[in-house]
Amino acid sequence: MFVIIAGGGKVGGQLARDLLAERHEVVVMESNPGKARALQDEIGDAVVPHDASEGRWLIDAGIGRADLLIAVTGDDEDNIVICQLGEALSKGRARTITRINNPKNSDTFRALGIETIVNATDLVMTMIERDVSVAPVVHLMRLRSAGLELVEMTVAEGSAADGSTPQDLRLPEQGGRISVILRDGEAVLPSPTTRLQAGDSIVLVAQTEFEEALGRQFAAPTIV
Amino acid sequence: MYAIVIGCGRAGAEIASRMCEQGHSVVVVDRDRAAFHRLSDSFSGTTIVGHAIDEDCLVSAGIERADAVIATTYGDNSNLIAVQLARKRFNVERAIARVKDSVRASAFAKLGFETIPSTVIVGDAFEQALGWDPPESNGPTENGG
Repeated sequence: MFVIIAGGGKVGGQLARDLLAERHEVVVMESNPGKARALQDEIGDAVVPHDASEGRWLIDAGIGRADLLIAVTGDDEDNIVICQLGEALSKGRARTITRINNPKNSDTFRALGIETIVNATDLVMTMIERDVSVAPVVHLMRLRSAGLELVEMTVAEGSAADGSTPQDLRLPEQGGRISVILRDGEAVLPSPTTRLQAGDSIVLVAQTEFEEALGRQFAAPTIV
Repeated sequence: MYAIVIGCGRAGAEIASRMCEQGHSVVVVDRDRAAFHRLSDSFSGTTIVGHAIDEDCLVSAGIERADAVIATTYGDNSNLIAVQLARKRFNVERAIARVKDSVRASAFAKLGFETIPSTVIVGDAFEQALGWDPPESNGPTENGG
């Protein structure tokens, strides 16, 4: 996979290291010369010392053949425009992921119909880093157009999920896959036999049509 | 017309003053109060200190009843977000962004947003001043809406 990372700060640098270790092709774009040089010293030619929102540099970096564009600069407006520009310049080929630094902006950007938004809490970044490093990247991207939703649910006490494993719940057969479990402030990658507990937050990739049915398994039982 | 001009640099101050001269109601938004000194004596509108993409600020500038939003801040990306907000969130009829980067300007024009590709326009003006052939429509403003 060919990945362009806009922003060579802490998050961008770590993503680059992870992706390179997984033998992906990576270009990091960082407009701050000092930061770019520091990263260059470490990972070499994969660093382009330019602003990713400047069209010619994004084209130069290879957006036309990129599979994935990850915008993790420290500026929300830049991240959004970089993703939009990347989608336009790659004619929709490149999938895009961005982060929102200021939670106040997420409603605004959601209102603009921007789909690939992730809040930049440490936990969620952990999730992205892991999901990008392992194979099923596709699940995080283009959610709506692929008929998929990325949803967060909390396991309610006494729900079907409380005390069950993903295997027990037969989630994959029902159009859902747990991406990560957020438990006691930590991100846990689930195995088929990980037992869910009340209070866990689940980040779930779900087929849109099954989302409601899936949600019922995590909700508290209703008394009929 | 009720217009909001975002960014009170030279271009923003110029268009704001011109609009006032034409008899339009204008509100100018800039995050730096000192920027308002650029407004000419003919400017008869109001000024608000605030950020281009802060919805609260845009609402207090009257974006919900604005006919036009003109985004002329120094940052192309802020301008592009501001016009998207104006069009999509507040249904403003006309929203125009000044975009210096020609590639970004044409990419967003293709997406249906009105852009003024200032670098291209200045380049064209120089070519014309030099008496060269008028350029083919180069990164034009498109209104796909």
